[in-house]
Amino acid sequence: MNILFLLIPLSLILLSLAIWAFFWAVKHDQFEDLEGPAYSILFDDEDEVKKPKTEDSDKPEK
Amino acid sequence: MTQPSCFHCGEPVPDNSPYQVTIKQEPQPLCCPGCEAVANAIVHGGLESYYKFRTELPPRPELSEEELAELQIYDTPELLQEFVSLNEQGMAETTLAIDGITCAACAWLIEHQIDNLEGVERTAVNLSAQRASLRWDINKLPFSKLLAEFKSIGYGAQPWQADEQQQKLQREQKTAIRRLIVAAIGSMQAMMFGVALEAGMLENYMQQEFILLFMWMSFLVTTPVVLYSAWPFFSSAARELRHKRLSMDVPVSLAIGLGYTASVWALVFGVGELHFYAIAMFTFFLLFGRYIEMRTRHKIGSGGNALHDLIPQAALLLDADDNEEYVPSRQLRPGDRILVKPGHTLPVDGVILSGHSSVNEATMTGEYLPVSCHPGHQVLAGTQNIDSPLIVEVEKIGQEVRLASIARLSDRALAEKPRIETLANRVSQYFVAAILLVSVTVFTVWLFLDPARAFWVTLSVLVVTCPCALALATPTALAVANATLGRQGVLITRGHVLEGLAKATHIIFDKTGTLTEGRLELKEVRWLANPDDHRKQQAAALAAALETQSEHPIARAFTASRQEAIKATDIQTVTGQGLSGIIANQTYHLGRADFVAPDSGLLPPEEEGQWLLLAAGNEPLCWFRLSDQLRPDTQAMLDELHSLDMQVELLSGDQEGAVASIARELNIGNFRASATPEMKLARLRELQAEGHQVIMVGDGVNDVPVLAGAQVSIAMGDATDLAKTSADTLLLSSRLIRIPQAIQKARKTRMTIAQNLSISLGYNLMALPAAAMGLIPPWMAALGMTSSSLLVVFNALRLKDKGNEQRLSETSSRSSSTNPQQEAKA
Repeated sequence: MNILFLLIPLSLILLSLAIWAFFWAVKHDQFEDLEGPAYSILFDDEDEVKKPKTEDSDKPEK
Repeated sequence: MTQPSCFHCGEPVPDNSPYQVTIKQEPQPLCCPGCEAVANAIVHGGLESYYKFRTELPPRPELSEEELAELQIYDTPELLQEFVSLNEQGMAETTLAIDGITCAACAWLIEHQIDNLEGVERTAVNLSAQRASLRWDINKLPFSKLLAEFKSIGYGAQPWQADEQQQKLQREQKTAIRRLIVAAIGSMQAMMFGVALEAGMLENYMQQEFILLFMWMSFLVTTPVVLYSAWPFFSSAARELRHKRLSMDVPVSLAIGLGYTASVWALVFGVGELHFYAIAMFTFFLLFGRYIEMRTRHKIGSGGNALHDLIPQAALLLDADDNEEYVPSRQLRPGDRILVKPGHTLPVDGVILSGHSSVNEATMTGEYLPVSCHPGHQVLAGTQNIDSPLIVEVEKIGQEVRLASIARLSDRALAEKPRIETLANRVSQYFVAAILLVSVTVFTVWLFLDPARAFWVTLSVLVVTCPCALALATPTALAVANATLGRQGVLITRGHVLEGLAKATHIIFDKTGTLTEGRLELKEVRWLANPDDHRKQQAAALAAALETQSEHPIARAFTASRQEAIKATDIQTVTGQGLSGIIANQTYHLGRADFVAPDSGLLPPEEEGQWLLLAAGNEPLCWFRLSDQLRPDTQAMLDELHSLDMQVELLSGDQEGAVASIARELNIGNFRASATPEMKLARLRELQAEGHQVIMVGDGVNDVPVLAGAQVSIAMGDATDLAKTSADTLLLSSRLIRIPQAIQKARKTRMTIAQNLSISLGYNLMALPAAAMGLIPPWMAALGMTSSSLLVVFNALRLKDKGNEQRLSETSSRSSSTNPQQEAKA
């Protein structure tokens, strides 16, 4: 069980890495547009996309 | 309504329209050359998938040669320097504000179309902010060309720069995300250690050194959450206390602060309980709620620099020899002479030196009919010249123009906005005071009974009464109600709106653009000549042919009547009078009676609307009555409001006659015409002074100060940017019936909040005596706290409606031919 004394500080280092990564992302505007990317993945592959016919009834809310 | 609708924009297609686009070997009808140009540009670019992807219709593109020519001004070095920056590799970078993005397919279309251009390295469209950032080689592709490309696929693009306010918002938002992330990660870790600790201690087999390790780890991961993430609570609480007020942030800070201090105390001295993970979770949930609220609030202001959007960046300066030169509007000085071409927006306030034209002052007065202008006439920045060139002497520039003063008026009104005292705030004031009082009493009593236990019992009182449920009671109900309304197209951007809607007694409407559509429609044709004349059936088509080249709002009323077989030549426009042209070898005049048939002595009928006379040669043929169109659900909305006991009032900048007739038609007793922004604000103050709670609905720049000053303000989805930023509610769908629905929802929300408050207060009251007597073990306190919080959350969830079913039934009942028109306007 003494391994915990190594593993837990190690997890703290990983934790600070994660926080640093998030801060980096915030700084580089990754959180600016939370809407667009969600749709953009649908659009690139033309033939695979099947849009429902009833466009009006299921439009995504803004 | 049997007309086909335009494949691109969804507006009805005129009979025999020659415009079409071929997609997958199938011709599709289009309504106008603008749509044709855009649709072909899209198809030629191989991007016809856009039509498959899109979920909303785009606005009808307005494409004119002049507009494209106007873009050239952006190539002048002064403007380039301001908006375009060069990076180390010599690539130009800029950010553009894009008009006309209606759904995600637009972003896709723009990125693909622009990326395919030669010289463009990267295009990124920000869908929520409606902005695009670009990196390209400016030597291969001039800036004006780039902007023209946007135009060619139907989007208006303008250089965008964050002003101070927006930079502040952006910083605020980034800080909030950072705090949220720290709280999320910290609380997860704290939870891990905390649960392990409690489980281990319960089982009693944990070695002492591990217990110590876990305790210190909990402390380590919770500390940043308390000191960094929870900081806004502390600073807000301190601010409130300095102003001798008690707000929700006070008990929240108290709970976090004292819980943390007590836990540290317990850690260091080895007595009492640790509450680290509870504190961290508590902070995280509260921050999360605040973050969502802030995000919706910021969304509105993201359209661009509201004021800048209305004033053009460049002007045509005339020197002493009448040579024209484009200069940035900012360089204009009073006394300069500028040329304002038809279709252009005035950059300054000034006086007309020469030229006769009509000017559209809709942005300033809300009046959608252009005003005719002559030398000596005052013209205002932000208004649009329509017919013919004007030479204007600059009088006021920059911050002195009328538009800027309206913006300032609105800032002041916003600052003086009466605060709506929310139910939660009032309750929490007493609650916090009560808790503090009780704690002090308990402490004093225990000091006499058993001094050793006094601190711990007092702390347990504070923990047990930790206003978790109380803190959640309001935000959860508000969040659910806001989300539900948002799905219906009512976007709420400020916290007090629901409370204000529920309390409101008066509602004030602006006429143009809110109750009505703000555009002329042909209502009636009154034939004067021989009833057997074959032209009787074609009257509207004849007028339409004469109006084909006009940009005047009147011309748009005739668009639907256009027939391809009837064409006019030699069309001449006489500003403020009318126009003439030759159709089938016959001269026709259309316009005011004294212009069309001066000899006949005809006077327009005395009824509501604008009357135009059509004459062939000297023979008057018919009168056309043009009038503004009520929105389809105006009457239904007024009925609903009436049943909710709301007082309805009409405050319009329009002319007396038009307002009176609308008010009569809708049965509104209180109305005021020709109201200036100052008059509107004064009327609002008057109502507020009488103690009424007022909702203001508006859309124009002239409504902005009132919107800012009203307890609750609602702007239509197609309002000017400035109006949108000053309003705290936005009607995205522009469907008026949502207003009474929102009021009903707000009243229901108020009830739910009251219930929630009683639930949480009830729990706290029950737990308090037991805790004061020192009877409550920690696990019981935790259980009680959790269940009361959960109860509150579930109660709030009841506010959710059967959103999907309701919307489905509504959309299917809506006829598909009326829908696109609304979309296209938005």
